[in-house]
Amino acid sequence: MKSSLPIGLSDIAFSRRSVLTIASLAALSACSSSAKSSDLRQNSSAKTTLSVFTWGYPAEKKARESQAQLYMDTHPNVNVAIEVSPDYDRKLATMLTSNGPDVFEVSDDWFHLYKDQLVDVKTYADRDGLDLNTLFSKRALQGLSNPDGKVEGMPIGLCPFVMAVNLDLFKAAGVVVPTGKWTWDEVLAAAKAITKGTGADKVYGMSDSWVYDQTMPFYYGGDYYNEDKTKVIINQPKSVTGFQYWSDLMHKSQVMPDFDAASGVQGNQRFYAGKAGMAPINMWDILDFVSQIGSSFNWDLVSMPTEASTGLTPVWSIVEGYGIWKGSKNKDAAWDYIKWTTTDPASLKLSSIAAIPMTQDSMNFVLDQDFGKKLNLQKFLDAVPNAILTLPGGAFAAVSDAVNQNLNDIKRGSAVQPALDKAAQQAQPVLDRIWKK
Amino acid sequence: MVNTATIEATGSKRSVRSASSKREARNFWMYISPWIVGFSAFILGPMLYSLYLSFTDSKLGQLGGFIGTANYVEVFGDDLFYIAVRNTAYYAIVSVPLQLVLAFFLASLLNKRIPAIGVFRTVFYLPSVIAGISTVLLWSWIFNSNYGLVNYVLSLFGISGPNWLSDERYAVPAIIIMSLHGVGGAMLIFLAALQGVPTSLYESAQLDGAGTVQRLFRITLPMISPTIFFNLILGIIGALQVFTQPYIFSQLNQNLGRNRGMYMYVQYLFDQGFRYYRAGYGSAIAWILFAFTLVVSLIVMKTSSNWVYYSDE
Repeated sequence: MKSSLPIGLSDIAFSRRSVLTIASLAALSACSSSAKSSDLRQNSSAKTTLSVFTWGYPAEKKARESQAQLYMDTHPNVNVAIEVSPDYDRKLATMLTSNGPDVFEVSDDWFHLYKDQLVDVKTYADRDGLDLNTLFSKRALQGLSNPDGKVEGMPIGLCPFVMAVNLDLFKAAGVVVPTGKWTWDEVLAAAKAITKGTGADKVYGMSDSWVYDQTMPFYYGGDYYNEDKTKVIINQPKSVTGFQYWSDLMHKSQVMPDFDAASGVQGNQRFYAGKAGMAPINMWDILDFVSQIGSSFNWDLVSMPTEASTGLTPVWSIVEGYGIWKGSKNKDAAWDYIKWTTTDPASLKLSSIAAIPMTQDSMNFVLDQDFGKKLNLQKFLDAVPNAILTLPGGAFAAVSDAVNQNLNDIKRGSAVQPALDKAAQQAQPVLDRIWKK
Repeated sequence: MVNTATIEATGSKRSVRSASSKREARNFWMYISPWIVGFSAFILGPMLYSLYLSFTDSKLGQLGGFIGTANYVEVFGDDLFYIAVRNTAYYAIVSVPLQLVLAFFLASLLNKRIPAIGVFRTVFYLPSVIAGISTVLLWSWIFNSNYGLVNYVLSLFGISGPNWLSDERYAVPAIIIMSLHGVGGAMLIFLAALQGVPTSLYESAQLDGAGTVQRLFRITLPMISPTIFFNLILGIIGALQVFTQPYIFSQLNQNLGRNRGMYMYVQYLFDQGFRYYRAGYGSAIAWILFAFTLVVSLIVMKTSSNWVYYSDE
């Protein structure tokens, strides 16, 4: 009869053969890892290896990688191991628990989400005699600076939205493409002229886009939050006016897809297919637009509209930057890298394919970029003075989600004020909890 | 009188058996140790750590302080929790029986001796091995409100199809239909079980005048009841953890954000833990799911004695 297993650890005396087997396996793995370690030591003895972690649409990926390569070419004692990740947020959060990158990309719309994980770069700037406030524009440092004076990162560039317009649809509708500023009344008139058809084949004057969700309240002096970001104010009169205008675009003028129409085809896809006359576009989108549209129709860039009654032209934007992880063992080398990438003209020429450089004398590098199609890139520079900071994610992601559910109700046709009241009511406790933590 | 030689021989045999048993035990522990180490390091250890986190206000990457059961209290006071539970329960209650029935039906069809039956079995099994994301992308176009196949077919009958993935009334039904696409695994297990039912039972029943339905309910189902039980437990566990479809849909059209109509429990967990970086709160949500899944599984196991028949009983 077979014995029943197991007997128990106390009864075990390992045989010599089994001990030798286990020991051999352990020795083999140790040998291979130590061999790898020695290889690494040999390769890295003369070089510092910096790990750099970024996100990136095609244009940003191209910019970051080419900057890293140029840095290595000009700094032979540094090896830059750059990783561009499509799932940046989740991966960064887990990396920072133990083995964070020396340098990682930061966004000013995170609202200081990682402020405790980042080195104060102002200390390094002061050490090197750099005055960040004169080196960069005010907007550049707005979101990267903490109230206590700490600066979380060096700004790589500003990414503002402008409007892409389908020139063929404008021409067919007999609408003159604006060359300078234009108002929402003019946008609406153009959109009405372009909109035609019904159902799945309808051509809309404007595509749907989350950019409008984010900026409409600002056109009338409203906002999502009060000045110190402790109160949700989207249901106050100025914000409501902006959202009402947006709702009317969908349900009254019907020049923008409502919720049901947007569910079938989302904003940029509709523009690529030639089914929308206008769509917001950022610099990081351009390569996508060029490859998707190809030679299907002619298109170019114009400014975002101005609200005539207030004179305001809020342009959604973020500032991307590079920060140094507080746990990095190469902080000095990391500082040298981020200082170079964000201030050296050769580097900024490479990064200006994806964002407007924020040093005073380098913004025009954007105009020299070649996206494979002639575009009025000046419009991005024209947008800079109107660039605002909104907080759609980062530390405020939970609040945004709570608000967006109610904005979807507006897209479905619900009345604006009640939907915004409900949004504020649901979002305020979430915001309170964020501040409490 | 006791035979000392027998005693000595017995004693020798006992010592030989003892040494042999010890050797077997040693070998057992040696060969299972990699799994135990792996399980302890990568499953049990993290589980216990997450249990600890659930009693803290930890953020992702930052260990927080002990706050007792505050996270659990907050979960039960969160409206999103009840939305997620409602949607997940709806999905599980409808999809699991549907999947079992469909899998059994397909297995019954594929349990025939016809030419090229292997081809049919492969065809019906293939969808279950295709990667989840590509399947979801495919279904997102099938269910597309403007250009999708489903609404096109409905239009041929004069029916205006709904906005499947955005309308809160139809989002969960859409995901349920989508889930039927992957019944290949359960189908295969049912097929193996059906092939294990002795044909003599059917022959005897036929001789006694039993019809098809009687043979199904009196022979087939009881004989494969352990397999049904197995697929039921796995189906319940899988349904309570549905995530890929609703998450991918929410990413496909970021203008629309999260559709509350298909907001499932694991998506709620993911959002809290990995989008809002609330590791402690997310851990509490995970442990509530674990407890609920355990209770449901135990209830099913408890009731199984009434309807599951094992061959050695």
